Amino acid sequence: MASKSAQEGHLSSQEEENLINDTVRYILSHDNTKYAIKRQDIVKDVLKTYGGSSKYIIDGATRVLKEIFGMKLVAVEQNSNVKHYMLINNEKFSTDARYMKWPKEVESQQVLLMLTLSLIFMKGGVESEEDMLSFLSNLGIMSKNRSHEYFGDVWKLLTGEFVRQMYLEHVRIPELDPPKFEFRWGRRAEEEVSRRSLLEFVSLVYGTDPKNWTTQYQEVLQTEKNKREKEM
Amino acid sequence: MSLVPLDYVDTHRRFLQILMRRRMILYDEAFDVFCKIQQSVNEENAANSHHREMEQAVSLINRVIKRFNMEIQCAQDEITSEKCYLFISTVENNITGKYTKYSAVELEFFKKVLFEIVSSENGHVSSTVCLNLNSSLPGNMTKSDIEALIEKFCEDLWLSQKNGKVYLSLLSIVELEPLLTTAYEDSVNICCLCKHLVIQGYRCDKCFALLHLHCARLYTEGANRNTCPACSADQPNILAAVENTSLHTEDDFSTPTSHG
Repeated sequence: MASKSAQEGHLSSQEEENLINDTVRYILSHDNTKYAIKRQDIVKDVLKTYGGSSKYIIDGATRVLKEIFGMKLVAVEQNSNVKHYMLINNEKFSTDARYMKWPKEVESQQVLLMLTLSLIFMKGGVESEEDMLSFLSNLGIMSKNRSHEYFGDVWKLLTGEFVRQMYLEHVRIPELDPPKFEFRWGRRAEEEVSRRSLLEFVSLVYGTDPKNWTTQYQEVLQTEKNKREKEM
Repeated sequence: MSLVPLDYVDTHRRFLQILMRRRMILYDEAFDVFCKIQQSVNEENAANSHHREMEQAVSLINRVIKRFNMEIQCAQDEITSEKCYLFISTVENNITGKYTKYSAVELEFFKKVLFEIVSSENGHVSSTVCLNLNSSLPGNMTKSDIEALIEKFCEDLWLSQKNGKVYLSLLSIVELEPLLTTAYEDSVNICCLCKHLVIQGYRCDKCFALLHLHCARLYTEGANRNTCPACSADQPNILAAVENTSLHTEDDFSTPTSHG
């Protein structure tokens, strides 16, 4: 607690802790949507006149979320003026999701998401709209104008909800006319989803050994190495 | 300076995350989950966990999350007597609190249902009565809006409904106990055995005291008596009323309602 800047001078350590606790509760209470939280909203709803201390308070909340709840709060900059925060579950704990009992629609979304992320990963990190469409149609999950009875409106989820939750990126391919779009892994997927377990899942489906997918297996090892280094 | 004691480890964080997400979980299921977590943390040393280890973990978690006015409590269901863990927000952070996800009208409806249940004879209210509450609410809520709203409160574990009746969940009873006992002081019943709020239980036909079934069972069983603990009147039916209630005599069981 040494690096206190001058502008927080008027906050007692008790006030400071209360603000941090409130911020944590606020962030946790928004966790069910998985949408990013705007810094301005934290200021407006929680910090109020202490907005000037927001950086300091949010850093404190980040530490609390990590050490007490085992969650990670990361800043995502969508453009230079608007700062967002995203609460991320630890990849190591991802198997615990099975004990958490989700509403039906969330459960089906998670299945769809894992299929989509697996496809993108197996295709080298990017998948065009057309190929995604034909993949999902071949699986019988998606048909042009009909919403699926289990998965719902699949295309809307892929290009709307999952993008907003930052599981997917749905971006325009530059310099193409007419414009075309492609899918990539979003920031949240990078943090929460284990490539290894996806590869194990795909291998199980194909009855192969994960190591037989040489490129993908190398990527698994590489990302695991990167994550370990980042944690150091 | 560390925020957590040294013995607070990933097992606690993971268990906390799960309880926080579930909010209400049967004790036995929680124990199952706890064992699985311990096994995955500690593969070579996968000895069977004891209930006591989980309870110690819970009390350590409680010490750590106290600063957020959150607490994991153990309580018994009033009807089934099943032991549950509940993830509770104390003080202002509960359903009516600052960061609630419900709109003012939705909360207004919830409060009316609370009142109906608390002031009822038998601790529940019929769905029809709830549906008719729409006329007393601001905004033009239709009966099917109300129906959907009841569903939503049930999904969020605040209410439950069965056979056309709406009940308060155990989570509501425990979490809202301070609020209910203050707001409806004259209509709520306090179990004279455990001194906690009781909504459904055994009612003495002389003094009309209401007792938790599981509390009454402990009381009658222990001394083989069939009197009302409040007024000592003979209650010939009390033994029959509580005989199907489970007693939880395991050594690691603390108190019937250890909340509060």
